[in-house]
This record gives sequence, structure tokens and C-alpha cells, in this order.
Amino acid sequence: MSRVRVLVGTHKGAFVLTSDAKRQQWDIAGPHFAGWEIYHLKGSPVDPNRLYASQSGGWFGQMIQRSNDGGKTWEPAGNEFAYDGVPGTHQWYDGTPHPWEFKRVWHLEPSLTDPDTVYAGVEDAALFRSTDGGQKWQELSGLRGHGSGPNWQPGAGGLCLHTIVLDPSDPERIFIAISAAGAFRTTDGGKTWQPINRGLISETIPDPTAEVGHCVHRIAMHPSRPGVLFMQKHWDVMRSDDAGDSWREVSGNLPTDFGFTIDVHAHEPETIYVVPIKSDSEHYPLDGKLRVYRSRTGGDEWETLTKGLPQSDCYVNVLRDAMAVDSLDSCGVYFGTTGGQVYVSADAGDSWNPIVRDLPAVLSVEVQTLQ
Amino acid sequence: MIRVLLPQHLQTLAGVRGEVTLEMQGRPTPCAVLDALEARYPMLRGTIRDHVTRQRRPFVRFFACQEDLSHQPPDTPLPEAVVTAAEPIFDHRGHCGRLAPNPESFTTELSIISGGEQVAAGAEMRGNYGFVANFAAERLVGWNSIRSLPTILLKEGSTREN
Repeated sequence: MSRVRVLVGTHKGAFVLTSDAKRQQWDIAGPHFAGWEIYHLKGSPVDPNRLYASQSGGWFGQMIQRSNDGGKTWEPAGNEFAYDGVPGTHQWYDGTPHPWEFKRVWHLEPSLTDPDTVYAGVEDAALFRSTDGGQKWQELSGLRGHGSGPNWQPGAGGLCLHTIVLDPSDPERIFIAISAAGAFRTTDGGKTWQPINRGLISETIPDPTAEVGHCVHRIAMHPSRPGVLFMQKHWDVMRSDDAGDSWREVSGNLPTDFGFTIDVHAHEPETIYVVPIKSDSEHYPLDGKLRVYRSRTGGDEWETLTKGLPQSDCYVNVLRDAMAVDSLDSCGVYFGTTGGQVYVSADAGDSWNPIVRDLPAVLSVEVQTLQ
Repeated sequence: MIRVLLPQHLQTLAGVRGEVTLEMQGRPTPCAVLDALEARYPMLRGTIRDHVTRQRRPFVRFFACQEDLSHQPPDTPLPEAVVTAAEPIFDHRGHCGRLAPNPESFTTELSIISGGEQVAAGAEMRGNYGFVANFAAERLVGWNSIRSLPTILLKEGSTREN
């Protein structure tokens, strides 16, 4: 019988939530790595029991943890993320050059074909790859070296590479996103990269249509249509039908087009989800109402999903890595909040229930569908 | 032999409890102790000092013999009492969530009150207030056992809130 395993990274540890296909009764395991920030944890699509976790903190820096039994036990893997060659500088908040300095791993993306290969998106922005189960990490330095790196500038959360999307149809093609540099694509396995930001308009930067400098918050793709990308930018929900060569806005009737997360239904490539958030700086739902928005038309036309979600006095945020979908017949949608709730919808968003209500602030949510 | 008391998170990471001991040749220095510690426990690499710069992480402090050795050059010989294993060296967290040192130095017997309960008592120690309290909390009960910043009752009856 199918079941699901939800991997939750929080401000103070990791939690593993499991349920059968009904997704009504849940077992909660954790906290793992209590007291540490778990920016992200994710399982290998090839070997679901192989999990990787990014464990970090201000006291002791970055650790990578690995599990071979679905999160029951963990072992430390390699944590040396050394930039390739002379790191150089990027722009600091005030526009002055600032040396590239490793701070933390924001996102781990296991390979679609090899459980020992995993990518890491880090702050200050760079992409690393391990081919030995996380023991050793090598920077794919063509990304920082393609020319615009010295002009990259951090967003409010730092200069972070937070999104890694692997193309299931072409192992050489990878999409990444950096706040606040924009989206980039490689078609040669990471040797060379090009910015893919044409069509993005960011009014808060000197040149609103610049090649780089856009604060992209998240990119999502349906595996059956790898040329179609959906983006939650700082402001604006965007769509590309040519693998990022060009983008057009699909914010449509959203009450605000600011937000962090975006995801795609497991079986309907034109059904997408966002959580609009009030900004600047407030970063909580409009009017204190936690609402997910769903478009069944690939954007432009959005419907409000509220059943089971708090509709008054709710002032939480939903961060960029904190939404995921399962691949059961009735697609499950999950998201976590900075208030410590993790919600599940077992009916593609029509209705919601909290799995847990009182975790530490949720930084990331991933789901594994297990047979 | 050198005795090292790691902070709780690094004990968990290294899979140890309490002090660890390291066999060292010659007159050890903080740098040499870290080299030996990381050789024995590779999972600690990068947690106490940066992989690349080898600089101590800002919040990590080294205490021994009632002294803060953190700001000494890393090749400074360790105190004799550490070399002879009479005293441990601490890889400590800094003072956020702990007790700041107080310049007043004394010898005392103390109790630690946390959450309305006495969680430790009877340690006779010498040093300044913050160091004694940190030392007692770490050695006697472990910081994870303390539910709130403790009240320290000094032998002479004075009470300090922190």
C-alpha cells in the first residue's frame, strides 16, 4: 500500500511525518538535530531511503547529514564547501565589492538517477556537486565564472542559491535561481551557464529588464514538461514555455503577486499553486487570512483555496522551500509555515488539515511517495 | 594526555559523552589540540574552526584553568595544568545564553537553581562569577538540563540573578 513521508526542516531541527495514502493519521518523528537550523532535507528519487539534510547554525557552521534508512538514523557527511580557485568578489548591499564567503547550504537536490550524486545550492551563491554520497563537494564554478558574478547582489536573506531544478529528460540541463541575481541554465551538465531572465521586470533595480539582478524566489517544473517553468519572483508570478528563454507574467487575479513558494500538481502540468504574501517587509498573508491560490490554466486565472485554513488573525509566512506535492492518485499538497504548522490537502487543495501545529518555524517541506 | 570538554552539540555530533582525551606529543598548543581532535573525530572538522581560513568560529571559545584562551595566538603553549591533565580545556560556546564574566573573583561553594529547583550544589570553585557559574552548569548538570538561566546561590548567602 502506498504511503507518504514528509520531510520537514525547521529553525530548530528536522521532523519526519509519515502516513498511509489516506493522509489522515500521522506519525511524527523528531526533532532530529535538535537546536540546529535545518534549511532543507530531501530524499533520493532513486533510493527513497537515502536522505540528505543541511544542518547549520551560527555556532558551529555547516554540516551535511545523510540517512540510509529513511531518516531513522543519520551520519555526518562532508561539510567542506571550498570555492573553486580564487573566489573573487560580488557586490555587497552598499554596492561595494565583497569577498565570496561560504555561509550555509540552502538547498539539496539529489540526482534523478544516482543516489550518491547530490547538488547543493549555497550562500554565498554557488552550486556544488557530490558524487560520493555527500562526502566531498566540488563547485560547478562555471556558474560564478560566466561573467556577471561580480555584479550579483544579495537579497534580504543573503546571496543564496536556493533553487535547483533537474531536467528529467536531459541530465545535462539544470536550472537554478539566486536571490538576487536571477535564474540561470546549463545545458552541459554545469560547465557553462547562461542567465535566463528575459521578460522579467523588476522595478526596484536600476535597469528593470537587466540580464541579471532579479530576485527570483522559486522555480517549479512538472517532470512531464521540462520546457515549461513556473516562477515566483519577488513580485510577479511568471511562466516560461521555452525552458527559460523568455518569461511572461501570469499573476492574473492574484490579490498580491508577492510570495515565496510555487509548485505544480503531480498529474496536471497546468495546475499550479502559490501562497500570496503581503510585502514589503510584512511577509504575512493579506488580511490575516491564510489562502493558497490554485490555477488550473497554468496561471492568469486563480481560485482561492481556504477550506481548513485559518481565515482570521493569521500572520505567518510560507517560505520558498516549504511547499511540496505527493504523487498519489489524488495529488496531495503540503506546506509549512513560520508559525510551525504543516498543512496537508489530500484533494489537490480543495480542503486542508494541519498535520502538526506547533513545530519551530518551518523552513522546508519535501514529500516522498513510497510504495 | 589532554582532556577536552566539548559543548553539548559537538558531543552529539562526535558521538561522545563528557570529556574526551587526546594523547599529545611535546608541549601542546590550542592549534595542536584541534588538529588531534579533528583527526580523532573528523565530523568535527569545520565546526570549531573554518575549513579554509582555520580561524576559530566567532562564538566558539576555549577556556582552561579559569582563563579564556580564545584570543591567544593558536600556537601559544597550553597551561601546565592542561598538559598534565589536571584541568580540561573547553571548546565552549560564547556567552549568548550564558553568564557573562564578572570581574569579581572569589572562592565559593554554590548552588544552581533553575525552574524553581536546585539542580546542582556543592561545587567549590575559584574564579570570577561568570566562569564559575558556566563551569558548574556544564560540569555538574549540563546546560541542556537547565530550563532557564539559573540563579546562583553563593555560599556566603548573596544571590545573583542572571
